[in-house]
Amino acid sequence: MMVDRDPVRVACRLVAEALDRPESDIPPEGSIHTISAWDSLGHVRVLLAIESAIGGPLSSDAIATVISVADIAALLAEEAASGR
Amino acid sequence: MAGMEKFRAIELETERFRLVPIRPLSLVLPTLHWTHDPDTFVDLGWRSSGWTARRWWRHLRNLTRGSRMCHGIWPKSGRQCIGLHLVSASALSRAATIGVVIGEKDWWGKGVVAEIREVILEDCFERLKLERVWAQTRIRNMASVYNHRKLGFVHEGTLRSAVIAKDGTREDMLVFGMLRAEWSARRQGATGDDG
Repeated sequence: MMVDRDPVRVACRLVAEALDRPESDIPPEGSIHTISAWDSLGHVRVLLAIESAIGGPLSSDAIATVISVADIAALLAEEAASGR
Repeated sequence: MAGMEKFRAIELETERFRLVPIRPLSLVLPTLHWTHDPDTFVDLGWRSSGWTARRWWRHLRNLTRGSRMCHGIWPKSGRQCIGLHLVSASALSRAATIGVVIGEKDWWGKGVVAEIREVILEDCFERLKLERVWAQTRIRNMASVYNHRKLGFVHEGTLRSAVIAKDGTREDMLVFGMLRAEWSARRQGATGDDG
């Protein structure tokens, strides 16, 4: 099975699954300001999904700053680079 | 005397809600059940147990003293107060802290805070002429973090190990702030969030 290593695509898929939306509804430039389904409860599900993906709790800085697909992609890339 | 201005809450309105300055005595019994739920007040740092009607009444009364303003949140579709929004302002520094509690859990996740905060901020910056509004929230209150970021609040800092969580562990608090200029820019439709 091919594993998608593109952090942007992984982030889009993560957000789509957390918000229970098709992946086509989550553009790479999407954020809490542009995706209507990304409400407060959706945001909780997104952050918990990130923690599940990285295998541990998010830092305070991450919780404070992650609000877009790009933010999530950057965080996932950083986690991958750190070997977590 | 300069700086001794007393702020007064006025009635505000959104699409779904009326924000009414509270009358503590009339709110005590209809909201007393909020004090029985340990989840309700955790972000405000209020006690989670040991409430009596009298103690709750005195607490509500204190929320309206000095330059503190407290609105009850009343859905236009119902007859029950579902929560409280708090503003504690300083006439000297022209800054205020804000907080909210949604006591009726049926209204959690219904966009209440995001909707009412718009008019509250409008009131703070336009009528009260404040220069700064800020708030703090536990890092694990991710819905609250979302609400602040959605409205354009800037993450100004982190209070490390600042509070005790329900499980007894220590938890960071995030500080969010908004300045008058940022609010004005947002109203004028500036795009982008670089908070």
